[in-house]
Amino acid sequence: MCYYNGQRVTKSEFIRLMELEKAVAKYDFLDKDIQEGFAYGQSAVLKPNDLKSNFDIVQMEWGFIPSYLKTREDVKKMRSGYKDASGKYHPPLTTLNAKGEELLLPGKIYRDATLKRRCLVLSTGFYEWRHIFPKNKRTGEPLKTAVKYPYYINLKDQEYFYMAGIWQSWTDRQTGEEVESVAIVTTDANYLMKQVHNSKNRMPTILSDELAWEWMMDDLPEERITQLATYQYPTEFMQAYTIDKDFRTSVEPSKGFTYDELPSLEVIAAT
Amino acid sequence: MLFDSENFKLKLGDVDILVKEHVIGEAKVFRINFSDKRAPLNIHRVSAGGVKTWMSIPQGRQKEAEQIGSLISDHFKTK
Repeated sequence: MCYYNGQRVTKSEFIRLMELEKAVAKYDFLDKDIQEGFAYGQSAVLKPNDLKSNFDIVQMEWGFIPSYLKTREDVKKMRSGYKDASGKYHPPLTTLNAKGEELLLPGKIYRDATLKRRCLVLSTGFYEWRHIFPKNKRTGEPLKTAVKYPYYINLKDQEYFYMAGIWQSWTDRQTGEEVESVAIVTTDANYLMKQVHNSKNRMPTILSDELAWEWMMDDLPEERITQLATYQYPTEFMQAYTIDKDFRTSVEPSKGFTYDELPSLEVIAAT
Repeated sequence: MLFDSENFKLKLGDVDILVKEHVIGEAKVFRINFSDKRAPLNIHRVSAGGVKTWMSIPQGRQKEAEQIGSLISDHFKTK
C-alpha cells in the first residue's frame, strides 16, 4: 500500500496518480482562456514527430529565441531593450509574432525555422484591442488619444483552432537550459479583424484542418509556404465580442462585457 | 484525448470558482480557478481503500480537493 495526499491507495493506483501528476503538469497551460504574450509563458503547440507521420502536443515558450543569443540574460535584454557598453540604446525586439509575408526574406531570423520547423499553435481564442477616437465635444474633431476596448476573438462552432507557427530549439550556453520557443505567424487583417485590431490591421494566420496539416507536415516550396503563411481566415467563420477591460485578472477572462458607447462591428454572416 | 471539456461555475463560500473538465489519457481531471486569486487546483476522483474520494493533483491540497469535489459531485447530481 502507498499513500497519496495522506490517503491509502494501492500501488497501481499510486503509479497511475504519479503518471497523472506528470501529465497534468505538462498540460497545465491548456486551460488558459487568454495567453498573455508579453509574459512569455508556455503555449500549447503541435509539432510533427521525426518521421512526420504524426504529431506531438508539447509546450513551448511563446517568443522566438534567435540562435545567436547566448544566455537568458541576452534574451531578457532583447525583449526589454538595453544600453550597450558604449551607452547606445537598443530598443526591445518582439518575437512573439512573425509576419507571414517576410518569413523567408534573406537574413530574417525566422527563415531557417520557416523552411525546417513549422508547427501549429493551439488556441481557443485570442484578444485584441480596438481603438476608438472620441470626438472633441466643442470642435467635433477626433481626439488624439484613443479609448481602447478589448475584444475576444474565436471561431464560430469550433472550440479549438490552429494558428501557423515556427519553432526553434535553443540552449543557454551558460546554464545548459534547453528551450523550445515559438512565434505565431501573422497576416493582413480580414474584414472583421480590420475593425477590431484597427491600430495595426494584422491577425494571426489561422489555418483550416487541411491547410494546418499541409503547413506542418508537407515539404513545401517557398512560394507555397508564403501562400499559407499569409492565408486569411474568412471573416464569416469568425466572431468577436467585447470583454471586460480587467479581463487579465478575471476568473473568466473571455466572458462578454458590453460597452454602451461603443459602435457595433459590421458582421458578415456565413452563407 | 485532451480536449473534451465542460466548464461551469460554482460557489465555495464567498469565492467564485470556475471548474474546467479535462480528460487526460483516460482520467478525468477538474481544473479549478478561484476568484480570490489563490493558485489554481487540479482534482481527480480516486478509489482509496475501496472508497471513492477526491484528491488534489499534485499532492498537498487535500482539504480543498474534498470540499470542491463534493460541490462538483452535487453539481452533476442536480444537472
